[in-house]
Amino acid sequence: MKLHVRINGEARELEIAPGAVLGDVLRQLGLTGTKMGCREGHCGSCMVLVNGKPMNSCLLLAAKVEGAEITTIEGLGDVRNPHPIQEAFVEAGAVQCGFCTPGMIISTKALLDNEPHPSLERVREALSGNLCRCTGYAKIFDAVRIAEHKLAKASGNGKSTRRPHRP
Amino acid sequence: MPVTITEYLRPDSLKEALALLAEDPGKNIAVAGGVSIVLSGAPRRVRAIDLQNVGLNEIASTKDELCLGAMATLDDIIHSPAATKVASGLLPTALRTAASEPIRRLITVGGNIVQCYYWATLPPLLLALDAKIHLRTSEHRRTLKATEFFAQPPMRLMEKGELVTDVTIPLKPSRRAAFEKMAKTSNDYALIHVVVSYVDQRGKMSDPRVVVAACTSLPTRVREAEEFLEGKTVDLNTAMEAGQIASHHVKLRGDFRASADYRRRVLRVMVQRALLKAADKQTIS
Repeated sequence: MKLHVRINGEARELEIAPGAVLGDVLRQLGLTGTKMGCREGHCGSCMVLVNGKPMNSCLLLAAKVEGAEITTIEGLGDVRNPHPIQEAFVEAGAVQCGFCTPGMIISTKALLDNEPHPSLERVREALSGNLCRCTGYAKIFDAVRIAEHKLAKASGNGKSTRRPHRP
Repeated sequence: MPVTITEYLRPDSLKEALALLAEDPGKNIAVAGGVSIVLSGAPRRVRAIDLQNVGLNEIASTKDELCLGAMATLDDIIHSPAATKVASGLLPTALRTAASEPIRRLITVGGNIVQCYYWATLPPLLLALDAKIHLRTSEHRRTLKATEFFAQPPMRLMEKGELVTDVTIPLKPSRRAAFEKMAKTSNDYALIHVVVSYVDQRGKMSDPRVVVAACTSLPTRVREAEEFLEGKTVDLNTAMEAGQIASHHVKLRGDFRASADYRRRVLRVMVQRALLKAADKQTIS
């Protein structure tokens, strides 16, 4: 069947199997930053933005995103031109094995787009669907705070005085 | 993936969806959020009927009741001002404990109650709030009380080609309620869910509901505990005794997560806590 979507800003017409899940479709397009970890919605390494909202692409039938705007980690930035959230994860040392990182960054992007200065409780809730088996989350929460400052500075309203803090 | 989808249709109206589902009902599958279709389902070839655009997404309230469209997601309920009117915000508080935020955007009202996995959050809430479930086929409509709907696995009760269209919850300003979940991590499957509610009549409980789920194969109202609570004032002794009664009148399931005996001990305390929480008399947390 045909699927019409915008992926990272580009309009695409794709031929998909009616039962395909979005994560597999994206990876077959070469967008392998989206990981298929547990395939049952627990780990969040498959997180992508669907119309700006993070969703587990391993649980989402591709046919359900007809007409939607999909953003994957590749749509944020790359090695030469990283997104401020990607820089923040590097600066905080929030990346160890790196398998969960694209999903963590996607969830962080959705959070900070909607709530530029979230409470720690909101950070925890927004990242509740992303598992990391290496870091223990402290540095990931630090990275979210650093990203918050970078984005606030970039948008010219860097009012937040919150320092990165640990739970 | 056990279910093989051979064709994927997106009807634009409920009438069209019901007509499609009525054609050769055995070969169709209704798609709400799609989660359980991706994760499980009997190994068979099916035609998928997506209900996204058939007008069941709304959450609305009148003076007397809250109406949850079958395609509203748990996240929609959490952020709905109308839904906070039920029992001092019971729904958003309880649903925030279900799965993770991204998955709450996929789980729908209809999917959650029709599949009725033992860990599901909405079914015990609907039982404790005296909800009604509205169903429709291309031929007829019917309305079931939550107690009737959840008396057996709902899939067994539904006819071929039948859909849940919406759920209504009565709005009684004096109904107080509380929810408790026990799980090994914050978003793991629940080991125990407890929901209590009652109408507050000058400090005395009227029409109490004590609902236990996740530790039972179906969400269950504990009538013995409800009868005990009728007309009583909530205090620590009453709450403790109700917990004792509830934990001894429910058939509990055990599995690799926790034994039935363990759940029985914890359930007693959870019922007690939920009652004190509903009455704003928490002495322990």
